[in-house]
Amino acid sequence: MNRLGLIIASLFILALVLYLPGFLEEPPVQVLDEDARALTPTYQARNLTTTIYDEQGNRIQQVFSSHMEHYQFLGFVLFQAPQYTIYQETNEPPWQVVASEGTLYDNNMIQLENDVVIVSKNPEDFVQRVETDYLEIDLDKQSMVSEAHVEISGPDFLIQSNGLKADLLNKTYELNQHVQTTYQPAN
Amino acid sequence: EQSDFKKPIELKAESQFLDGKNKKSVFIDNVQIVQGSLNILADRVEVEATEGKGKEVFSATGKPAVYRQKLDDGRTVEARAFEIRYEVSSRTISLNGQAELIQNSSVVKGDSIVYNMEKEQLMAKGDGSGDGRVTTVFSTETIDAIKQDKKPKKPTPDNDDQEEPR
Repeated sequence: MNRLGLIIASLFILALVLYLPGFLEEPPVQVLDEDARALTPTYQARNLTTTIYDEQGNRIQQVFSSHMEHYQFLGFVLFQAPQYTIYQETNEPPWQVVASEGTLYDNNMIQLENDVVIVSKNPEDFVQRVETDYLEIDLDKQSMVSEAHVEISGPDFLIQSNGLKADLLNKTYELNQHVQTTYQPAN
Repeated sequence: EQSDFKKPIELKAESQFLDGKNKKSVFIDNVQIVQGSLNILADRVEVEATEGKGKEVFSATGKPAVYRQKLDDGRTVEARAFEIRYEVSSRTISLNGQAELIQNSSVVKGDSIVYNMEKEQLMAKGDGSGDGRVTTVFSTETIDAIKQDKKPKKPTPDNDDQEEPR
């Protein structure tokens, strides 16, 4: 093998030595960091109906949502335009709750935002409707809390208040920053 | 005024507690009831709405609770008592506890007074001193008015309780 051949062969070996590790190396596995993983929905669903039962098998609530994202690591489920049905222990007709957005947390707390409307499906109920832009519902205690402006209405009255504490079970409402209540006259 | 009773009743207060099961509301602190020219100021008001629309009963308490309303002739009737109970359907207020009603510049004092706002008539009972008397004080203005009209316009007290002061 003449001198030229030797030079070419050594250059070839040199190139091989330089680039071979590069070829052998496996492409780095894309390991999402903890935060990025948490912020990615575990799963998403469309037009989903979720029903939740208590330990005794009684239906507590049902929610239908056009779009739902479940964030397992963060411990909540995001609903777009949720329609909740909250069942009462006393087997009375349920409450119907709609909002622009809803978040259900693992501890059975629901946070509702924007155009929140609660309607009683029981015509006998004194309070028939509650409207606000922000509301938290504790499903276990069947209680509701809001700091926002609230309108509560019944067959012949309308209450306006800033903030609300309500017990759906006992049907009591505490309005600590009451604004005004109007009773309609007999027609 | 008669037109008051066709108007909605508005309540303002610092806080309210509503009991949906018993259809009762309690308003607390700086409570004001307004219905047209009818106005009641109290520390606390309980509203019973079990009978439904237009049949609520408002129980206002205060030290004292104060009622005011314009009469059809433009004058004002005013009343004070520890409790003023407004029954919407019968358009009457019942005053209990050091009750005092001032109408056409005459003052009626009694332990309890029932005043029909529609008929502008009152019935008074006992002035709390235990001997069942009611005190009515006519101001000179009212007496002159009576002389002129020659038709005394007396309130229609309950005969067995009322004793005219001389």
